[in-house]
Parts: sequence; C-alpha cells; structure tokens
Amino acid sequence: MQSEANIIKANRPRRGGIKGLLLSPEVSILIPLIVLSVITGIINPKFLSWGNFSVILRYSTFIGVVAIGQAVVIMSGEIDLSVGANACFSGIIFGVCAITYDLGFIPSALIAMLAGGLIGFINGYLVASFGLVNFITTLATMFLCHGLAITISGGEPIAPLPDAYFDFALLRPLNLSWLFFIMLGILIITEIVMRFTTIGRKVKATGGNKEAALMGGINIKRVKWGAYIFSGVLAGICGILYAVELSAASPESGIGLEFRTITACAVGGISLMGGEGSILGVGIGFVLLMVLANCLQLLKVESNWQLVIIGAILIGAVLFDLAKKRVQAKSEQ
Amino acid sequence: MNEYILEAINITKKFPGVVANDKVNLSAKRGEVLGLIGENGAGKSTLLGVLNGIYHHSTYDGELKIEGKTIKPTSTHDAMNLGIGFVPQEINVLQSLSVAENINMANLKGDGKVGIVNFNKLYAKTKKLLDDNHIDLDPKADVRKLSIGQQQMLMIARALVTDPKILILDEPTTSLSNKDVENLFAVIRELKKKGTSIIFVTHKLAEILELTDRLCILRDGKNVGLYERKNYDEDKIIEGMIGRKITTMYPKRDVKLGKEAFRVENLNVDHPYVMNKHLVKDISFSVKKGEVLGLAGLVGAGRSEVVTTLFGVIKKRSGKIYIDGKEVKIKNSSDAIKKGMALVTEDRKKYGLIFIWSILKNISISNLKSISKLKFFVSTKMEEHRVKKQFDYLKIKAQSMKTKVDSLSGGNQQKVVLGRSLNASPKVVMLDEPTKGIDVGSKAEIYHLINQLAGEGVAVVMISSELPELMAMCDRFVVLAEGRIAGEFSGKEGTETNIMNAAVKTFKKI
Repeated sequence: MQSEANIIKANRPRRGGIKGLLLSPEVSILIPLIVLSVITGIINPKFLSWGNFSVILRYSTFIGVVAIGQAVVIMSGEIDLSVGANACFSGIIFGVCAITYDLGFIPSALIAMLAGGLIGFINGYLVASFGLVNFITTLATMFLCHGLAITISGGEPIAPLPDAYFDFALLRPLNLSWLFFIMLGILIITEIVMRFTTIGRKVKATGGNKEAALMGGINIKRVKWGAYIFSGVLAGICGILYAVELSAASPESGIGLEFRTITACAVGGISLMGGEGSILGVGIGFVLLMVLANCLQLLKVESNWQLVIIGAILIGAVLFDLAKKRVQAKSEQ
Repeated sequence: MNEYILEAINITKKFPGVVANDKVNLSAKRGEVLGLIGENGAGKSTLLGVLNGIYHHSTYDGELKIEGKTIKPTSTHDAMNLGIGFVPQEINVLQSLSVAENINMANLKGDGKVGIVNFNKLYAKTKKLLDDNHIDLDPKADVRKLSIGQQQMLMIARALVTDPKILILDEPTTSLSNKDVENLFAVIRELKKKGTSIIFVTHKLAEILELTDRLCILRDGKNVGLYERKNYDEDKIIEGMIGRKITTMYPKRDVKLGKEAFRVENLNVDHPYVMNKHLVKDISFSVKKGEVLGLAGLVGAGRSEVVTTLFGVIKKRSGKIYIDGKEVKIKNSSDAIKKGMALVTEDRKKYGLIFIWSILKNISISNLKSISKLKFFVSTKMEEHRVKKQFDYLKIKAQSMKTKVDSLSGGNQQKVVLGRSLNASPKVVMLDEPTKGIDVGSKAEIYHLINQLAGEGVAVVMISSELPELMAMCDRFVVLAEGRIAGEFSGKEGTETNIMNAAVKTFKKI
C-alpha cells in the first residue's frame, strides 16, 4: 500500500497555473496561430488588418463545416475520406433541385442535406455493421460521389442560381458573411454536444476503446452510424453553402477537402487514434491552415513550395502533440 | 569465484511523488531459482525494469553486479549482452514468422553472406538450442499455429539465444494450462542443472513453494526479506507480502438466498464460422438473489461464450433469459445493462478499459443517464459524486479519481472495471476470471467484494480456472464441457473430483 501521506499529497489538482493553460489543447494551437500572424504582420503589415482577416474567416467557412464532421468521425475512431466528393455531389444535387426543377431554397437544401446524409448512412452501414475497413469504404464512396456528381452535372457547372441566394451570400455583417455565421453556429453547437453531453461521451468512448465502450453498454454501431451520417449531412451543407457563395454548383468543388479536413483535425489536436479532442481546437486548426495559406501568399511563396510547407507543418503538429503528451504524462506521474 | 551471479545492492528508484524501490537488495546464486513475490505496486516491475535495463543506470541509485563486477546497463539490449535474459509477462511473438525466425530475430543473417538468410543453418542452429534446453518445438513451425503454452516456451527460447547467465521470468504461467506449467517447470529445472540462475516472478504461491530455492519478498517498495527455502511456507509468504496475517483467504459469509433473480433456458449459440457447429448447446440454469453460481469447466468449454452471449455481445440462435421472473429481450450490451446485467470480461486489456481516460470517466460510462441533467447534459458534479461512491467502495488505490487508468496496477484496473459494472446498479453480475493476473492482496479484496455483492442480494455468476477459488466462493456449480452442461452440483457435492470428472466429459458428436 502507498502511504497515506503520499496519496494525500498527490491528491492536489493535477495541473494548474500557466503550465496547465499552455498544455490545454486549444491554447497550445492558438499560440502558433498568434506567432505566425505576428511574424507575417511584421513582414507585411497588410496582413494584420481586419479586412484581410475577415476574408480569411469567410473562406474558412467551407473547410470548416466539413472539418467539424470529420472531427466527430475521427473522435469515434474512424475516418471519412468521402467528405470532399460528398460536398461536391450534394452541391450538384442542390443545384439541380434549385435550378433545373426550381424547387425553392428550403426544399432544395433539405434534399441536398438528405443526399449528403445518405452517403454518410452508406459509410456507416458498411463500416459499423459489416465491419469493412473505414479507409477503403470511404475511399470507395468518394469515387462514387465524384462519379455521380460528374454524371449528373454533365461535367459542367450548374448555374446560375437565383439572384436572391447570391445577394444573401454578399451580405457582410461585421465584414464577414452569413454563411460564416452558419458555420460558426454549427461549430458551437457541436462543441457543446461533444463536450458537455452524453452523446459526446459516447462518441469519445467508442473512439477510445470500442470493446470497452461496448462492455460499458454503449451501442457502438449506432454511435458510428451517427458520426458518419453527421459528417455526411455537414458535407451536404458545405456543398450548399459553396454553391450559394459561387452562385453555381460546380462538379469540381470539394476536391482535396478530405485531406485538408484531416490536416485541420490533426493540427487542431484531435488524436487520430480517436477518443479525445475538441471541436474548438479543430476550429482554430482550420483557421490556422487558412492563415498559413494567406501568409504564404502575402510573402509571395510559390504555390509548389506552399504544399511543402503545409506538409512540414502537419508533421510538426503531430510531433508537437506527441511532445505535449509526454510532458502531460510526466506531470501526472 | 563469486557465489552470486547477480547482485542488486541498495537500489532506489524514484518516480515523481513515489519511491518505487527503496534500498532494495536482491541476489541470485549460480544455478538457483530465486522467487520474487509481492503485491501489485510493491515494486516488482520497477525492480525488473532496473535489472533488465529498461531504466538507464543513471535514473536510479544503487549498484548492480554480475559475477562480482559492477555493471551499468543503459538499455535492454545492453543488459542482454551483459548476460541478463528477460521473458516479459505478456506473450509477444511475431505471428507471421516461423519459430526459428522468432528465436533468432536479433541475428537472422547469422554468418550468411551479403545479408541473405541461410535457412538450413538457421533451422539447425535453432534445433540445437531447443534440444539442448529440452524445449519441444519445431524450428520450422508456423508460430500462428502454436498454442499459448508453446508460445510461452518460444519466448523462453528466444531469451536463451544469447546464452544468458541469469534468466528473469515475469509471471510465465498466467495463461498456461497445468500440463504446460509442468513442461515449463521441467525446462526451468533443466536450465538450473546447467548452472543458469533463474528469477521467477509469480502470484501463485503453490508455484513458489514447488519451484524456488530462495525467495525475495517485496512490500511497498522495500525488502521484506530474502528467505532460504526451509524458512517459508504459504502463511509466511502471505504475511510477508501484505504485512499482516490473512486468517482466511476466502472470507465466509452468511448465505441468504432470495427469490430467483436470473434464469436462462435452452441457450444455443452457433459457431460463427463453422456450419452446424455450436459454441453453446442447450444451456439452462438459474441463480437466486444472494447466490454465487460457479461456472466451471476447462478452458474452451464455452464458459466465456455463455456469459458474453447472455450479455448480448455474441448473437444467440435461441434461448430465453428471465430477470426477476420476467422474460427480457437482449439484443446488445446496452440492453443488457439497462435490464440489470453486468459483465466483467476476462480480457482486461481489450474489453476492459479506455486507457487514455481517467478512472472517473471509465466508471461513469456505464450509466450516463444518472450523471446527466435532462438525460443529456453531463454534470461533472453529479459524475464525481456518483463515481466517488464506487471509488471508495472498491478501495481503488490511485492518486485521485482523475488519474488515468493506464498508470494503475492490474488489481486496481480490475477494480475500475468492476466499478464500471456496479455503477449501473446491476441485479445480475457475471464475472469471467475476475482475479486473473492480480496479486494475493487484491484477490482477497475482490473475494470480499463478491461476498458483499451477494450479501446485498445481487445474483453472481462466476467463472474461474482456479478450482480452489471457485470452490471456496460459490454456493452451487454448473460444469460445462464442449459447450454443454456436464454436471450440476450443490455446494457440498462440489468437490474437486466431481467437478473435474464432469469437466473432462465428452459428448457424442451430433
């Protein structure tokens, strides 16, 4: 038996003060964001204006919506490669409904979200119920979505959407856009659900150790289905928002979004093994990615080199996460 | 020549906040089997880590000597080269390779030219090693097809390839059958004859008494003593380990049986891959409130399959389940918990815990409704309040409820698993090998808990491969063989002979 004194001494709060704050997942991502911004701001003062920053935030809307869904799937211990193509597919469905069939905004949007959700449902069904490998399954649905998007659209953008949509997208509250606020709303609600509710616990438990979650009485199939459907619906929403922003549904939208969202999750401190992470962190993660792209542009870095730098930063983020865990483990011992 | 092959002198190893080894001394003579025993958390693992080079020599105080010469191991590889062989507790062999490849992993090329493996030489070399040590394995055998016992032998052979002066075996018998244990002991005796020293770590007192020449007992990170064989027996060891006498290992209880709490009728489970084969066939039994029913049988008799099926994890073909006289439909584990069932599985690692989580979150997961407002928003206050009850009830030894479970000892991890089950206030608790791989002190605590649960009117179903444990704890026995009931005995009839005779029964093929 450990001596009583030892136990009592160790009973004090684990972490606190500045060290604890620095180790908290959100703050530790915020720091590189701030450092990056300050450096770029010094080199190019234009960067630090709200005008520039609001543009960044506005463009982060689309990666943001999808990254939130991706984050939930990753926390449940799976991965969703179909999100980008799904966003494209759902966007095309939205375009077809709104333009070809003239169904009006709300019915078109609902149908597009349903389409996105259906893809998520298929992913969930194959992965959770059949036990197929998530990577291959969602890779397959990615091709499926892309093929359908091109087939339905005939390879051409579907345009133009009714003017009213475009006018809505052009509104600039706080120099941002309503589309951005829709994304922000989804982010906040998801953060609350994942952090404070039983649903969040169940998702993270499933990602943490699905067998143990099963023994704890969690319906892990339902959790995985739910996560994939959620991710699918959000991809659908992304497709709609993007179409509204461009006033057109393009069969080329959403390309590469799956990997950019996974990057955002990794940078945002979500363990790719599942089981932990925060949506707020992912939010900071994708803004960081957008800021980085903007910085590189302002610093006139060639686009090929931008990719190299993003790759290096991703490795850096993962290494940083590892180092952080080591420090945490040490301070807990 | 120095009498001692290995000496560890005044080893002090500290972790932040804990002194894991406090001036520990240990010495092994040439050609002897030295037992090392102690409760979980007594500092055995730390000491083994020191001996085996897991900890760099600069991270602890004290001195290590081999044949009188001071050594300063910097890594496990280094310790190996210095003549210390180590066989870890968990079996970790490379399933996709052959026995010979596994054994010679570190030096596969041998003297082969340009880095190409000469398999003929490799097999011959391996065969010689195995024959010399009387280990019955085929060098060419596919490791995937070896039994657990054979894999354990393989691990020992692998440690012997460097011809160590001293071999450390960390709980080698945990997952072995009696026959495999006998084989293992024969090999150990053979090694001893050749002059190899062996440090044998175990929780099983009978093995210590049978095999060891001397014994080192640790408690709370300190030496209790180093004893010669004639100076220790079972009582002495237990007293040394826990610092007090356990008058009864298995606490008595007043059995107060209530109404029938749990009944299973004609449970049938198909084999998942083989057509027309069953895992479980026509099993029926019932348990009363306050009763502890023992499910006995050999490994593979279908005991675990019965309980996991009842819990809704494996799909059943047919069968009815009644709780408190009412039939319940259980499609998955979530239903089972809602209906008042709990299952503690044998495989603590895989099915037990979410290792990146704290004790708190691991326990609360089984009953999220009880800790949330509007059945949706988790309240940390309610969570801590509720889990505190289990934490205290089970006497989990940890810094706080927020400690991560991966830093706990096996016994305490098992208590967390139990806590998670009890947190859902079950009426029926099914325990599959609840004391596997945990130390005597924790075992006694778990027995006490089982009695306490039964005393509170819970129906308990217990599976154990340790017959003495099962016989002491249970009021009634159902013996399984080949997935069927091979015998049912009341407490008095449940003798070792009766149970074993039933367990080895064979049924005609259907």
